[in-house]
Amino acid sequence: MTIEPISIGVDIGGTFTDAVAITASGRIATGKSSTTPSDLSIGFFAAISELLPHLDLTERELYERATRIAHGTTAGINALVTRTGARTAVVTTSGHGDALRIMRGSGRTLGASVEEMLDFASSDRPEPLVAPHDVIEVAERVDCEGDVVVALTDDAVEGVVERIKRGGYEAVAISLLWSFVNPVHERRLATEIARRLPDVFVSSSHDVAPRVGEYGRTVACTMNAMVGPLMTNYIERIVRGARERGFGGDVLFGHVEGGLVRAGEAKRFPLGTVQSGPVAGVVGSARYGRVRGESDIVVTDMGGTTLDVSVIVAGEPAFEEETVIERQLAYLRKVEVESIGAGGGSIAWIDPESGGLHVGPRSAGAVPGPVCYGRGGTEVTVTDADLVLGILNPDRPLAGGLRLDLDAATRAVRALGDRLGLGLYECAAGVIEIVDTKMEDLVRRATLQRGHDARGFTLWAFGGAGGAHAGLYARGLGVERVVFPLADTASVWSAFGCAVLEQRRTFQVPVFLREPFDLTQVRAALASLEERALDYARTSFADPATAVLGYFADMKYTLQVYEVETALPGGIVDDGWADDAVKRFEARYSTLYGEGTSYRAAGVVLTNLRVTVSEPVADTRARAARAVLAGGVAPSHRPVYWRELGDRVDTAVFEGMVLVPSTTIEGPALLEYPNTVVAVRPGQRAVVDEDGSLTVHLEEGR
Amino acid sequence: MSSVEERAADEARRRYASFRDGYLPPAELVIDPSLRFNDVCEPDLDAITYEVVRSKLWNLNIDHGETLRRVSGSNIVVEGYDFNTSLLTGRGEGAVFGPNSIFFAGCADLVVKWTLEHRSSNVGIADGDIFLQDDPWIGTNHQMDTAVFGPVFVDGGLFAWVYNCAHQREVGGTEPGGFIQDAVSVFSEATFMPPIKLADADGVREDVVDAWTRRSRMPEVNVLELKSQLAGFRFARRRLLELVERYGAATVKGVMERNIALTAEAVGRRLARLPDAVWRDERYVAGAVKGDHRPYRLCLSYEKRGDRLLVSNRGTDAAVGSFNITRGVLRAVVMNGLFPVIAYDQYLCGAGLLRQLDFEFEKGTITAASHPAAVSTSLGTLVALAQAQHLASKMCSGDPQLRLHAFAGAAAHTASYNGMSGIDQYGGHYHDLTLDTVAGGVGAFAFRDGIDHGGPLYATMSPISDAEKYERSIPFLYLYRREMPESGGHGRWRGGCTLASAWVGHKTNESTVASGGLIKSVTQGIGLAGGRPATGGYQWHATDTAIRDWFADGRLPRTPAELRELAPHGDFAEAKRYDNRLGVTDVFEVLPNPGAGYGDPLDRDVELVVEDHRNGRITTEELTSVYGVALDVDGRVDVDASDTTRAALRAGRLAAAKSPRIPCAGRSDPDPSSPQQIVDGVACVEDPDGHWLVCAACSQRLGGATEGYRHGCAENERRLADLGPLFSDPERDTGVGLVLRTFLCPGCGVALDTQICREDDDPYVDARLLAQRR
Repeated sequence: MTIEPISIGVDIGGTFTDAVAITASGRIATGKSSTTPSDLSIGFFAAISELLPHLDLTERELYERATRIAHGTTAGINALVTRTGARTAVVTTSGHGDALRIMRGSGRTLGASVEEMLDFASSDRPEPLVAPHDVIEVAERVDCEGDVVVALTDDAVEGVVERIKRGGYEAVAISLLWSFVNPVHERRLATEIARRLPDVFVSSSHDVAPRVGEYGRTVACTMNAMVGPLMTNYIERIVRGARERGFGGDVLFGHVEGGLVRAGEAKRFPLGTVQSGPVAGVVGSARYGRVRGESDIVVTDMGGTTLDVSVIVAGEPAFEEETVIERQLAYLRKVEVESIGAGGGSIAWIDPESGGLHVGPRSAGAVPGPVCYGRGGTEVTVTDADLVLGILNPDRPLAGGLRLDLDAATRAVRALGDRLGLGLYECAAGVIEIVDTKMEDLVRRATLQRGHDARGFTLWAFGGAGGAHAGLYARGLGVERVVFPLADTASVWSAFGCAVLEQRRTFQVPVFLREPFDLTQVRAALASLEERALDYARTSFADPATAVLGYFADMKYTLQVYEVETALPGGIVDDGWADDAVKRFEARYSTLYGEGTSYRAAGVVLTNLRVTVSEPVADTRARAARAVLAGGVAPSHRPVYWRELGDRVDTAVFEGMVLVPSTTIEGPALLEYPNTVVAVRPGQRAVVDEDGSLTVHLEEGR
Repeated sequence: MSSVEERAADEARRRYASFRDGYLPPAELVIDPSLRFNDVCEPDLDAITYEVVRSKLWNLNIDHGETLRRVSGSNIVVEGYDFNTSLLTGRGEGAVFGPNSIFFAGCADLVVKWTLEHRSSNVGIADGDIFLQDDPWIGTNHQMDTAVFGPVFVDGGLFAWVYNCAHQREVGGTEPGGFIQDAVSVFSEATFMPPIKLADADGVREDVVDAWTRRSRMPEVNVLELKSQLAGFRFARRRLLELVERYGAATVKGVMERNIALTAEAVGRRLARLPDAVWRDERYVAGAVKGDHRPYRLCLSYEKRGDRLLVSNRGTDAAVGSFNITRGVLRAVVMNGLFPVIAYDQYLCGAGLLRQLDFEFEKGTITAASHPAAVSTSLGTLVALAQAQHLASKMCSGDPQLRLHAFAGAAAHTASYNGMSGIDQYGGHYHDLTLDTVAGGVGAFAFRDGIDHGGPLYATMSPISDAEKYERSIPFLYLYRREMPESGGHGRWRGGCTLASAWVGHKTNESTVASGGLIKSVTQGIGLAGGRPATGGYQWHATDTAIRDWFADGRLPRTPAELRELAPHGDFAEAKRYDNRLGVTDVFEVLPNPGAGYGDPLDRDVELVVEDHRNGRITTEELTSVYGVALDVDGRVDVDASDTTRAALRAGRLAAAKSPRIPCAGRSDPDPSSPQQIVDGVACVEDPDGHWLVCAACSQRLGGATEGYRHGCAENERRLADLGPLFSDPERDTGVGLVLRTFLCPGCGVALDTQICREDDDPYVDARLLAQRR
């Protein structure tokens, strides 16, 4: 056996920590271990150990052979959710310390569903991120052009340092008005605090979120400070642990911008790593889509409580510049993942007013969970309905050994059906129909909001519940096929994504330039960004010479709202360059918002310049690595109720892991995998692809 | 009653009447018989199909809105949510409405029904048609609110309507933006159009587009906004036809009709919980137009019998100045006020709500203005909404279930207008305004405090922009945007708080700011169940201050108090002045509206009072004088002393109060098994000697059930200016002194209700039973 370099990806989720190893020849091994909340690094290394038997390596050999370990996580989020982050002071411009409380008047509605918003009496603004006494206002003022109106005095700096010292803060967020245009005051405060109080984690808003709008910038800066100390500690533990086990390379950390960064950068900007797990899954899909020749993809991940939806267009994921975290709006450039409240745990309920049946958005979660979990859940969930219909197998324990209680689910669904005058299977199928319809509409909206029609896209499905439902919720979208990528890897997809991601970082500077653009300023800004990007490559990349730079700008029409990220032309920045840039912007705008939707006469404004730097890695070509059984396998059978057929039908059930490429299965059929089941609906056809992925072709004409 | 044929012949007369007095649809629409309908409807739907298709219609309609937003790119639509979308049945019943500006839910059916009645014969309604309209007398708040709507035909018959309405940024008139503050008639305002055919099966009519956009200072923007509305409309029409294809026309229509019927049933059931009674609100509002700051009277009453509600504005003063609304708008405002209270879970299904409502509006009044009254400023809409929300909440406050959705006066009840214009630092003309004025608080609920910065609730969402974003387009600096924790109205539950924003002109001396809107001292933020009002806010101005010296010294005013320290010569800005200078040494401050209180402050949980005190929500003085809470030496609640203080305050205010106008002797204990109340705190009791309204706290009789309770209350009056430092004196702005009159139970001294009125006004009857209950 030749010595192959190995890339390892690890993703820490709420329940499981997943690991994936990919060899240079495309062999893939997966491992799963329980997440260890008290010290996440234990589960991290345990999951990697799970890879060993699949690779026939000792621990030492694996760590020595690994060229890199890449890590996605949702670790920091928990601290924000439970308000257990660092004790943080917020330093801001005199008169503006209440921005985090006023929340631009949107506190009542941020992150709320329409139903929640309409029920005024139950809505409220969230508890502010920090208490009033943790906000320090400092006398200083810069205006929108960067001119200093009120200078920051030594006394003012001294006052801030003293208050932070006296308050015993572990972290400080400095967010001054217009700091991203002129950071002189923010830098001075940051430098002085770092010098005098070296143990305090310092986060500066011009650094974390250089964009206009003090509320979202301050939220991002504050959250960054809150997760700073604990993420620093965590990152150091992972790096140290890997080194102790013989790993000589860099541990890289997933970043919500869709690339990987080194430990130093992750510690500087830890907010960028929270939610990096799901993002890695999306970016991994974009990259792997290229290998499969699929570039327009709707990525869906249906778990217990939410359906996550992302859109990949022309091989690139969509970005958002602001994101809602814990009902606060944070400026955070992030690969867009939309979470919708629908999953296996969604509860079916009868509206006492209308007597109508609804499903979700309330979820039973993991505890009490669905009725069939036997953990005290009494309300019918989607999972219970799947079990009653026969889609889920009562004889096959879930990961973790949980057995599903068919009798309990049947009793609960029957009781619900009795109240509606529906039979057992009608009721169960109805619950599924309602939730799938809702998901279909929400997936359509996710694509529509990004200016696309789902028709012409391929839908990729992940998540424990995705296999059972994608065949239904994809139907009304007009997509032709649903792909369960590398079927056996799908359940550890975020870890896979980490393993295939490249190092990448984005540098940006806000500008506000109207046409004709001040090209001197553009040149200077781009040159400075380029320098920062190349600096970053020099300190971070194994081979800085391979660094690839990308140039982008946010532009918008004056008198219109939407900013559009536009790839800038290369070459010398002159009038021709500017014309080309505007043309590209206009083309992109009409793609996203429709032909003729611009008000060109009002002119174009350039609002951000951005340079990305990445270290390319080769695409991974996976191959199906499974036991090839001569003559195929005979399926087992069990009765399954299919709504399309209006009846229970004895249905073929295949063991998904042993199916060889080119196997074709006509629906109705079930394919069972270790962590999920794929339902091939009547009229649909499933084909096992060369790489082991499963493609389900939907009915023609539907 | 004349036959349909006779009425059809009478079409032109009715059309002109609607142009003059405003359109309200008759019980039976008069539609030209040549128009073919597709009335297929499956009445018998299973629960699954109903929910699947209902959810689809709901989402389709939201996607309609999203499509419109994407194409529009207008800040008013994208960030201000001042638009909405609807799906209606073939005969114009609004089945599905979107979650943006709630107000439009009551406009959609008006324009569709008017079009059915008055365009079905000439110009005709055909497959492929799309109509356009912004006539306030037919169904729109003001000329900027543009409706694009059209029929959806299935199998050759009119099956449904798709509607959207969006606030367009510029449609002409004497001032950019179209809120014509100085208008005394509609002729100063933008020219408007009744429903006109924008497109037919052959496509968009460019002559109509031109007619539309020629009025505007920014015609290209108009074109774009029309395009966005057309894109949304076409998307929704296409998707609706796809749904018909997938589920069948009869099923889709069946779901629409059932949705309406279920909402009507839910609303009817809730109304039926209430006693048959009439609730009424009368209030003064000032700020009709520059130069006329006198208070005018707005009246609204809800008469409930069985499961129906009759709404009337009788008693409202004649239309005046620039703050009028048409009667269709009043209807929409009433619906907007009722939705969150009795139909909060009904997905804004307008037709369902309308089935339980009847209207009797007095024409020619401020709230049912006849042509050519001026209607563009939205001030009338906002105050009418404040009144409608208040009355809906009051009506429901007596019922233990419905009460849970009642709330006291919310943000923008006493609306400000702070338009800014002049020459900016680059030497160019600018015209803009901040929306800080909508970031006020929601009033208190019956079981919890109001919502800080919760907004005015005429839209589902009403965010404001960052200070930085405003500073980029307006030549000023925010000195502060300060939360005002003490601002919420007092009560058993506190109103949500507002903010205060202060600005100084920057890099130009040729910039001005308006101190417009309603007269702030005449607050419209009235409390419920004895809760105190919220201030109407204020606008404060000082010129030639030492602000730049302060800057040079490294000082910035951080609070209203420090601003007054900077400029002791400053004062409340002159009401309805549009050119307050905002140069580099001039400062201007605005306090938007906080929410009003709910219930007697002396009933507030003492621990909450202490927490309020700790959080700066009340002063030490108010701790004692308003809430009657006493602290021990360690700053903890002294329960016994607090009880004593509260008892003394109740006794004291009774002693200081005027005696009941019609004293009512005796007590009647409410039946504990069915403690029906007409408003929160006033129970209805049937005794052998009569039917009484009594104090729910002490059983003191207050009046006969059909007479009302207020005349049996002691009355305590205070000048509005004495209510706290955030209140100002109406006499100065309006020439009329107004008082807060609190109606106290003469038995126990609890505050039951309040009214803002002239000292010599008789109390009006705000709640009385219609007939003795059985």
